[in-house]
Amino acid sequence: MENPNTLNHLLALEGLSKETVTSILDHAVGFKEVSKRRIKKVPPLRGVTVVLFFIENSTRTRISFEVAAKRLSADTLNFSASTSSLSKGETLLDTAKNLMAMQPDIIVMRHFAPGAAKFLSERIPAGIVNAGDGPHAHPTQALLDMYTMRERKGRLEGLEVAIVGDIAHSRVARSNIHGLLTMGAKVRLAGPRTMLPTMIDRFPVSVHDRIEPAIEGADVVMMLRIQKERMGKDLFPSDREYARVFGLDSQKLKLAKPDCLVMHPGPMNRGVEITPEVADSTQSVILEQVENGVAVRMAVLFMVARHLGVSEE
Amino acid sequence: MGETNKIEKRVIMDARAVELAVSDLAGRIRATSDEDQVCLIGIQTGGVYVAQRLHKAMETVGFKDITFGRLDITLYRDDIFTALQQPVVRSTDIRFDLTGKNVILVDDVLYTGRTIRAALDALVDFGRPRRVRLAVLVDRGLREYPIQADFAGRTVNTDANETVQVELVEMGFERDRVVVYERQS
Amino acid sequence: MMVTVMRTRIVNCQIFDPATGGDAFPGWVEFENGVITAVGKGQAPAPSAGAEITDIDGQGFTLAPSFVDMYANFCEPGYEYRETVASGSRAAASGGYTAVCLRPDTDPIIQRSDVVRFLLERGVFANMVDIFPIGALSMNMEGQTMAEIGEMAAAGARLVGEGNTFVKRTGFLRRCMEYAGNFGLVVMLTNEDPSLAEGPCHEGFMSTSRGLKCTPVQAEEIAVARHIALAELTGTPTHLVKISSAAGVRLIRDARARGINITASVSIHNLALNEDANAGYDAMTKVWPPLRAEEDRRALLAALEDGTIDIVVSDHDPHVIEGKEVEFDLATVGASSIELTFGVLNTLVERGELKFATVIRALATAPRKIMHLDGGVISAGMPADLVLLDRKAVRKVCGAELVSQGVNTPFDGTDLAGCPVMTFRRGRITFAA
Repeated sequence: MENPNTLNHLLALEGLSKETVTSILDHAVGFKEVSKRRIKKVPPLRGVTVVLFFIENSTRTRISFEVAAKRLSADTLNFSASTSSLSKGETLLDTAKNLMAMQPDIIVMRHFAPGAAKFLSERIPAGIVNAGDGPHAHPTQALLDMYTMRERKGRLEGLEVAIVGDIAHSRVARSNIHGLLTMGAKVRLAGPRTMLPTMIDRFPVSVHDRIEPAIEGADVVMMLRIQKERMGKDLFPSDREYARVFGLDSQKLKLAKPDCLVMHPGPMNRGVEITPEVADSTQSVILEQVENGVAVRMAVLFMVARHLGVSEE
Repeated sequence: MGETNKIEKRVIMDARAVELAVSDLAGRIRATSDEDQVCLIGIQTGGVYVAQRLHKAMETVGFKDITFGRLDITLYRDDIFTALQQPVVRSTDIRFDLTGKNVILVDDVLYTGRTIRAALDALVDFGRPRRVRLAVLVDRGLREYPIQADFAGRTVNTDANETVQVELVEMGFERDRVVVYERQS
Repeated sequence: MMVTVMRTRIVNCQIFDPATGGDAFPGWVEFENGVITAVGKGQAPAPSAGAEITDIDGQGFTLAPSFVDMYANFCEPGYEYRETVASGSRAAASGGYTAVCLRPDTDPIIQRSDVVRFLLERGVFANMVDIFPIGALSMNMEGQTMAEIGEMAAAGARLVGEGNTFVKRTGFLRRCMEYAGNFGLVVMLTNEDPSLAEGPCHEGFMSTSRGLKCTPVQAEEIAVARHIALAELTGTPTHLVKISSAAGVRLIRDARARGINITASVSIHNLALNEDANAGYDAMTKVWPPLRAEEDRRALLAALEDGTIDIVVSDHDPHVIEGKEVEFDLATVGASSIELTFGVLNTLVERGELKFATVIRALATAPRKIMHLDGGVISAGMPADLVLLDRKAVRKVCGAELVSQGVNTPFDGTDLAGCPVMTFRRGRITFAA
């Protein structure tokens, strides 16, 4: 019977119970308060070693996890792609086994390959937190998104949430879809068909060809980043057309509820998927998302450490 | 808090006794404090309710400027990952710098002293108080740490297989009582 | 968009209404403000005193819904010396058409919203037929970067396609079709794998005996199979343009049976002619797809009858005489055809190779269905888009005297049975013989 107050690993939101997700969000409330104190530190992870194992680069997420770990009094170690032995041909598994010599308790991992975090969790004895495995999952991002929605709206159940953009390549979208459905929210998707994964409508979500019907009456609209790397890949004609047809501007935002939240996982392409006006408007909670990210990651690290502590007994 | 399988053994304080004890605490704090400003910090969760009662009583005896805070010590416990129960982290709400302040830490029951040790650890992160004193409604003995209460409403002897619970109306109970329960294995 | 305000009737004609099926019946039709207000059998009632009604005598003629062409080239912008929207519209009206779809292979190519708007305006200015520009799928039809399909749709385009060009990268075509699906567009694809195409004629007995460079039917078969598969994958409505072979017909029949969302067209040239027409090296018979074997022609006729092929397109492609007065290999490809389509098809009806009802379905009803246009039936409330047809008149075709600026037709000098005598667009007469 799963204990909702601990986490063995955090690999994905798919399969986590509503109780566990609620527990993570509730813990994050307490940890958000820590970040408002004069001394932003509490002792529970004192003596715990957290390795930030980022094979796919990311400054923002890595720093967020690093701050979270340090505020819990953990020791952190950084291991990134450029400094790694992976570039010399060492396999992921061998690299990870070598890491284990430093006796890390928790490994926070980001990798290009979907399933990489699960791969390690089955082979090495540390708690694994997935910080993004290819296009598959980014559970802490979805958790901080849901935290933000819950904090602002008071609930997740029954919220109408629109996710717009490159769904096919987005781990943020996938994790949000799983998490929001678990928590009883209603999800609408919109984007060019070239960026919708096949049979996405097998999930109980509504899928739209245009942003307008997806955003109508929504409580939350989440815009996904158009990755410039996609531009040469035949998926849509130009930034200009994408912005006109699928981008979020003040005019389209009026279709949503007046207090609709505007979210974005970052970094934004201002003027492509979102206009600067909307990004900087009072409805935008994009900066809060970042702030909440530290609190949510503290909660996750705490709950994983707790599981390790219990298993040591 | 609250275990199943316990039987009530004796009631050591009834509503009247609780009321008198709280006033008595207020009076003694007044007598030993040389200024009107104090900080009351209630320890989650039982200590917060007691601190709220104490707050009212202290206003009656002439304290003018009482700041109030709540402290959750879960993150400072020494058994945080090994305890059988895994308590949810509640909120800490201390919106002021404690530096230079006359702090009264308040809890409902003083037992092993580990909770107070954790609370002192936490308090240090909020500033450097001028002095910290401890007020509890009940001291049940069986200390495991060198900690004592400066002000105790009632002192009793208990056994290790007993639990002492403060039950107040604002916590949802019918009437104010302090009860000793015996744990059933 | 001008309409007649006056009440007008067409009387004493045979009414062929595709909605009622069956044969034509003697009757009359009344329309006002561009809309049909009444349809009646037999003799039209005398107009009440004081009523202002214009009566048009349709004695000896058949009234049918006007025609819609889904694939034509009016050469504007860029090639105005061959045809313009104005001259092409006049030719179309004389052929009984009230709406024409224009290929994107102009100069500039129809690949941005401004060209779409330009053509819509030219159509309004000519005021003869409704113009429907077909937007290109890729910039310069090079198959590398997607054209601004969404912007073109916003400007009014309902159809996209790559003209007579084959999209080389299958994966790219897939993405274009998916993206077009966002905007409810129909994707129109021609069907020849260019790597198999070595010449403009059908690879068969005539090319062998005449030494003409040729292309096997498999070039079409492979392309049709690819496009059917992509239509299945993407779910976007797809129209296969100008099917010319029995092999193509087989694949389409199978795909329709499996419920895939595709439609298909055939050009009048592949229906009326076969490879024998190339025997004399007459450049006027040089068209694309090539004229194929008689078995293919018969398969196309049968497919049109049973609905496997939905519509007939004119594939109107006018050229100046200089382009055709050269050796066969060097001649321009294509024929000016839009004013002749009814005559060609009706001649096949007279020969017993097609049913009249099929012709009206292929020219009037089915194209409107594919494009989601109103009309195509003769009943009250429908737009007064009509054509009066003379099914008996026999006329010799003279290329030099075509309404179109182009002079190139393989039917030059042949007799065609039947022609339109009057065309009505929202009640206004756009052509009268």
